[in-house]
Amino acid sequence: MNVGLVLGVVTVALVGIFATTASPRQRNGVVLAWLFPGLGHFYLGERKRGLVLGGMIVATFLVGMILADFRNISPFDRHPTWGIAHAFGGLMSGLAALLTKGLLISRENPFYNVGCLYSGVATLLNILAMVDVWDLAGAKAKEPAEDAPEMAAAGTEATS
Amino acid sequence: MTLFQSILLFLPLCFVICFFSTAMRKRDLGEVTRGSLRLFAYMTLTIVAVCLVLHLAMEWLLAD
Repeated sequence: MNVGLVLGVVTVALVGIFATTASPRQRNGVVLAWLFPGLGHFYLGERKRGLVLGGMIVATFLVGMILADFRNISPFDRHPTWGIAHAFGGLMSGLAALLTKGLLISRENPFYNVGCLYSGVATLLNILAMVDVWDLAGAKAKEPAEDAPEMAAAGTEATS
Repeated sequence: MTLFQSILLFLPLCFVICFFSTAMRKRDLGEVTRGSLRLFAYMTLTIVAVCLVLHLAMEWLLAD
């Protein structure tokens, strides 16, 4: 069976589940986290967490690119399999692929595969960051407002 | 690539993975850092120990 077809069907099913079950806050947060690492946390007001997690993902991704002489983000030519992982990097991966499109491998680089691993792991870690945004958005929705107990108490006093 | 270079490249990536796996369970960043450092130490020690055992086992097997 065609692997691409299976992946496509699974992706469409997951996106469908995501679109129908997520709250607007979760949906926006996860989409922003996918677009750029850390952006989803910023959207939820978790600036420090977004800065740390997003910074780590971007730094790991860049270190991987430096190790591989900026030639490892090539989803359509050299690394279609890593390209699946890079898809989770959103704009970061897209921009990197676009900017390094014309570069050719002209020398033997012993760190090339390590660079591929670093960048691939960085974009896969963005999935965890997206899951974290989903969890945080869900938890924030369940948290009662800070002044809710006081308001409830005031309400009971007024009625008695 | 030398063994030293391999170890040098393995450690930061291992730490980042440990950090993220800890961050999924904890909200406070200070707690995440402490937890990830602990996990990083355990993970590195485990990998080094397993590698050492495998190395010794292979050496013993290939000695004959």
